[in-house]
Order: sequence, then C-alpha cells, then structure tokens
Amino acid sequence: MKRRSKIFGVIMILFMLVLAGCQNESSSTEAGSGKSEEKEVTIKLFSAHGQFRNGQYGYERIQEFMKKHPNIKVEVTYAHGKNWDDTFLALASSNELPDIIQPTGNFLIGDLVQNGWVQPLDAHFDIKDRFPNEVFVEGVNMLDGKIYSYPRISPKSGSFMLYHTDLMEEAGLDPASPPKNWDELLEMGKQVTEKVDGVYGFAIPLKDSAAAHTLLLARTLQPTLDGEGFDFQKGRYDLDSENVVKAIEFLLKMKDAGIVHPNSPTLGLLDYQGLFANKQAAFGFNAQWIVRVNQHELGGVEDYNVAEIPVLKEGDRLYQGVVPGTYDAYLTKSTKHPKEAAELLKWLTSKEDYYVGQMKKDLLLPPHPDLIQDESNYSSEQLKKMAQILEDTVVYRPVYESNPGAFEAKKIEKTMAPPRLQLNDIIIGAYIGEMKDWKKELTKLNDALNTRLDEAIKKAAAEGQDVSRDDLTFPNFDGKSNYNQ
Amino acid sequence: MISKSTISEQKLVSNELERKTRKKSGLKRKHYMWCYLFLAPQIILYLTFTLWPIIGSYYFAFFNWNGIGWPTEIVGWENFVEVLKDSYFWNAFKNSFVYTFFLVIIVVPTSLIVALILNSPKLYGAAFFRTLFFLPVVLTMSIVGIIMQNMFAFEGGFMNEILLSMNIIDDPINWLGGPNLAMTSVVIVGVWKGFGIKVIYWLAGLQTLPKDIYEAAKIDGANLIQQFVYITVPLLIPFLIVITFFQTVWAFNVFDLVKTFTNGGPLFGTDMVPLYIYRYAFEMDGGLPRMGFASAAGIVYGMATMVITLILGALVRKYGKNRY
Repeated sequence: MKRRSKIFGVIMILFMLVLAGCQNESSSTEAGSGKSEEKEVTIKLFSAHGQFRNGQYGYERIQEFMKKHPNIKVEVTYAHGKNWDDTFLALASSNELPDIIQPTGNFLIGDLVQNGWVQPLDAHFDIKDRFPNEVFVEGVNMLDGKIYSYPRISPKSGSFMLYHTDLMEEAGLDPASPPKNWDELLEMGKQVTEKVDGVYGFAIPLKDSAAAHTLLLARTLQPTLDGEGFDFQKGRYDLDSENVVKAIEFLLKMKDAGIVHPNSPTLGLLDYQGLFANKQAAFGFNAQWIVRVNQHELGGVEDYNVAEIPVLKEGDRLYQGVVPGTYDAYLTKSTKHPKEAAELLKWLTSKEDYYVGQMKKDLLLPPHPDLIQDESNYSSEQLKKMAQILEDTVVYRPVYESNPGAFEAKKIEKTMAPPRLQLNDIIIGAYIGEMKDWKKELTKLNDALNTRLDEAIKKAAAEGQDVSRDDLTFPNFDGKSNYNQ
Repeated sequence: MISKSTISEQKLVSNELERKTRKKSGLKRKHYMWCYLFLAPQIILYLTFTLWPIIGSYYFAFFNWNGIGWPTEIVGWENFVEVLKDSYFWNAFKNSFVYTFFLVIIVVPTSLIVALILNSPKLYGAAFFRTLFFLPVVLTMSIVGIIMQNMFAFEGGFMNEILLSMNIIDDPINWLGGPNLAMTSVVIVGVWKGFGIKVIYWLAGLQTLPKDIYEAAKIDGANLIQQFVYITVPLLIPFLIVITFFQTVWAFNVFDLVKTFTNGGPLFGTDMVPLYIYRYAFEMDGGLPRMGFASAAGIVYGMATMVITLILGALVRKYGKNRY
C-alpha cells in the first residue's frame, strides 16, 4: 500500500513538472513572437484624493482609460488623510508600494525621493510639455532638475467664506451683501442665530482645524504669515503676534455672543462639511475643493455662495501666498510596470481627456490658465466666483524650497519632535475656557517652534549645507504681491 | 533450577514487551507530532504578532526611530527619561487610571446584581434580558465611538433630546465640550459597552455554586440577605478576582473607544496612554512618527499596569482571606 502511494506521488510530481515546463515554453514562445505586450498588466494606484473614490470623476476617467487600454488593469485604492499616511508608511516599510501614489500634504518630495520611494517622470514621458512652465518648481515637484510630479489642480488655491443665501434671506439679510468685516460677521451671525430656528451664525471645526481657521483671520492682518504661522518677511514663526491674538479674541467674541454652533469643539472637518450642507450654520470658512465636495460628495448642496474671508477693517484683505506649483501623483521606484504606469499618468495629465472634464464636471480648477479663463468651462456659479477671488488675491510667496540648504533645514525640522501643545490645542483650550493664560502658551509654543527651526538649521549646516536663518527670511515680501525671486 | 525453555519463554515475553513499548512510544510521538502540527499556525501567529512586537518594542525603545527601515540611531535611556518627564504622559496615565477606577467600581458590583436577578429561576424572560445586556458587547468598539459622538452631541444629540423630553434637564448638556464631562461620557459608554460580558461571567460563576449549601442554610433559618452575604459572596471571591482583573486590564487598554469618540479631547481631557502611544507611533502631526519613543511609553505603561494589576489581585485575595 505504502509503496503504491509512493509511486503515485512520484508520478504526480513528474506530471506537474512536465506541465510547468510546458507553461514556461509557451510563455517564452509568446515573448519571442512579440505578443508579451498583450499580456494583462495590473497597475495599482493609491490615492488620498476624494476625486479617485469609486464613482467620482477621477475614478470614472480611469474606467475610461481601461476601456481604451484593455491590457492595462488599474486598481484604485482610496484612503483619507491620516489613514492614507498610516497605510503608506506600512506599505513602504514592507516594500509593497503600489505603482502610483497620490499622497497627502504630509509627504513632501524630499522625503519621497530621499527614501527611494519615487522616480522621475520625465524619464518616461513628455510631462514638461503638458503644463505651463511655471508649474514646475524645484523642491515642490522637481528635485535636481528632474520632474517627479505635476499639479492636478490650479496652484492658485486658497480659502473662502461660504454662506447660505436662503438662511440670510430668512434672517432678513441681503444675500447679495455677505459680511465683509468681522463686525458684520458678528452682527449677521447674531441675526441668523436669533431669527432662524435651529440655525447658528457660524460653525468652526475646532477639532481638526482651529489653527487653520484662526490663522486665516490673522492673515487678513498679517499677509506675510503662512498657514502654519511662519512669517516669511521676519523669517520666524510669529504665532504670538498681536494679529494672531486678535484673531483668537474675535473667535472667543463670536462664541460669547452665542453665534458659534455649540458642536464646534468636537467637529472634525468632515462633520463640519456635513453640518454646513445640512444648513445648521449660515457662515463658515473652507477651501477651494468645497464646491466639488458640496456637489458630488454631499448630494448637491444648494443655496450657497462664496465670498472673501471677512477682515477687521476696510482696506484689509486676505492675500494667500502659494508656491507656483503643486504636486499630485508620483511614480514609485519599485513599480514593475513603469511603461504602463506612465501610460496611465499620460491619461491623467491630458488637458483634453482629463482637465477640461475636471473643471466642467468635477468643479476643480485646473493648472492651465487658458482653461480657467474660458467661461464656457464653468458649470457652477460658485466655482466662477471662487476663481475670480483666487485670481485677485492669490500671490506667489518666496520659494525657499528652491534653495537646497533652506529646503534641507525645513525637511529636518519636520522630522524633529513637535511641541507637545500645538496651536490647535491652545485655541481649543481658550475656547472651552480651560486655558486662561492662553497668550502665555502662544508665546511658549512660538519660542519652541523657533528653537526647533534653529536646531534644524544647525543640523543642516552640520551636514554640510550652506544655510542660515537668512535663507528663510525675505524682507522684500509684503504678502500682497508676487515675490520676485 | 531454571530450565532452558523457561529462559527462552522469558526472553520471548521481554522481546514482545519491548516491541509493544516501542510501538506505543512511536504512536505517542506520532500523536504529539499531529498536535504540534495543528498548533503550528497559532504558534507562528503568536510569535509573529504578539511575542515579536513585545520583544521588538524593548529593542526599539532605545532608538530614535520613525518606523521606516531598521533603527540605527541609538539614544540609550533618553526615550524613557523623556516619557517619565512628560506631563502629557502622566496626564494620559491619570486619565487611564480614572477611567479604569470608575469602570471597575461601577461595572463589577452592578453587573453582579444584574446577574443575581437574571439567575433567579422565577424571572420571566431571563434569556431575553441576557441577550439585551449582551448586545453592546458584540458591537465594534470603534463604531460605538462614532455613533456615541453623535448621540452625545450638544445640538440634536440623542442624550440631550431624551433628557430634555423627560424634563430631567432644562438646557442641553455639552457632554463633549469640556474635559470633565467628556470623561464622564467616556465612562458612561465604557460601562454600557463592557457591562454585558461581566454579567455573563457572573452568571457563569453563580451557576457553579452548590445548591445543597443554600438548602442547609435555609434549614438553619438563614434569610436571603444572609445567604448572599455568608454563602454567595465568599464562594464568588475567585470569580471576583478574575472579573476585576479582566475589567482592569480591559479598561487600562481602552483605545478604539476614545480614538473614535473623543480622540483624547478636548484639550487632552480624555487622552489615555494607549492613545498617547498611538499618536507618537503612527501619527505625524507636525513631524514624523516616533516609534522608539512610543515603544518606551508602551514599556513604562505596561510595567505600571502590571504592578497595579498585581497589587489589585493581592488586595482582593487578602481581603477575601481575612474576612472569610
């Protein structure tokens, strides 16, 4: 019996070897006859952008791409914010990166290149010819002259005030005249809260972006500040400036007036968007993608419009400093199918096949000025208004990223432990009344951030970089006009 | 004198015995081999996902490491010193302790009372009530956290709506708006979530109690309270130790509930050590993750909880022995 089963086992192994041999032979024949191109290849794309969620514009375009390229199958995975970051780090540490990544803002080109995760795009296709020249910026989407990524949306991006026109009408306010300054915002907010049942004047997602909201208000007074509280003119963090203090005090004033939605301290960004969509607040701040989110992800929010962020006094304005370029997708270094992945990136960077549709259907402004200027591309009045505000108020800030020493120092800074108590915590502490001496905490935080930056500069210099604070200081930048490099 | 045939018979018997023993030990070995084969997947998973991370964290704690690649920058005891000096760690530790304390003192006795009621043969629909109490246990903790965030919302939250409609409160309570109330809310949800399983543990304990002792006590004239105090409680002491131990360890390790319910806020008011560790190990607000530091925090916390649990176990044992 045993002997018989042994013989049977040997026969089975031989049979399997023969089969395997045949298969190899047929594969090599195929390769020899040039048919290997027809073999199906799977490209994995890992995106942090809602546009690539199932059923959304980007996802639909990829389905179209697959129809045109039947031999290329694209698997799209989407994760939001921190989930994307965590998953990406896990994939990177186990050497299982997908072919294409679309990271969150937490991964900068320096990290991606230095860790050997991504490779240049210009080695694979004519990426440079597909965009206006100015969108490629060293340290943003280029490194050492090589292009690693490209912009998906217009570099001219920023934040706005959103307001519900119908709620303003209900409160007896003129929807054509939204609040222009802080006093008006306070007054109109009071009126809405008092006159419209169950609606508050203002809402703010304190849990996720107390700092971002406060800095928006502060930047109307101090245009040289960036979204993290770094002042380009002074070359230092300036979180305890009187302008930041004024912004926090105004926030507290709105709270004390009872016009801020009481759920605000526990609101994350997504809850906040839902709250606004459900018309529980008349006014709120948000960024340029909110038109798209309102239309496609929140079931078509109606009766709202956009306006500039209110300012303290006449003559002030929120100028938003940006770099002329942004980044989107990267081709990973570990991809086994660079040719097919590049083919997909060609599709995603095509002006006709992607960007026109993105503007018309997905309500996101493309990085091509001619498309933005063409009125026939607008299918949303809110987007049109937004584009006009961006055109008027967005300025190009100094691009320290182009200076290798400054870029390295800022990169090192990001790897160093941040202060335990951050701006968001301080604002929440002040808002819920648990931090009486919040001004002192602001100064402590500011000092800690500046010390950390100094240490980062020292470390970069010790590594051989020619860098000092001066490389991050731009006295000629006024924050109201483009910085002349 | 022993004949030759007797010797050869003895040899035959001993050979036969030897053969049987060998066969038996061969069978035994084969039997064990199968046992180990079936245990192998579990052992491999245990070694990979439980033992290795524990051992690894002791190693990583001595490095400045962001979790990518292999750690190279040794920092010695620096991470441990930083953890011990960090007021936010001790704040999280205090919160974990407060949460655990309230969960233990609320859940352990009240679940016993409910179990005693459910154990009564006279109770109609006991199975229904058991299921009712057990339902929260099967719900995913993170989902519970998200749902509870809406239920405890200030405006339009279920809790406020129900309390207002019953005229228990005049104005809505901002459950999650301040550190103290937020902690109260987390404790309420924690109690609700873990209550059912403790009831089941107590029921299992109650059903093992011998009936003859109660019958003898009844004959001696003991009333229900006397039976409970002098028979039930002493006999349940071993269960009390185990249930208290489980509850303590479970509460000390709470993570998914606070992560999804309050995310440790507001202003670190409900920050617990597992969440603190997670923040440094995996999140990257304003910097890269600090896996080495998080490992050190994990080790400090692991040791502290072990000491607390041991002290608790010893106290319960001592209390039980002294009294009975």
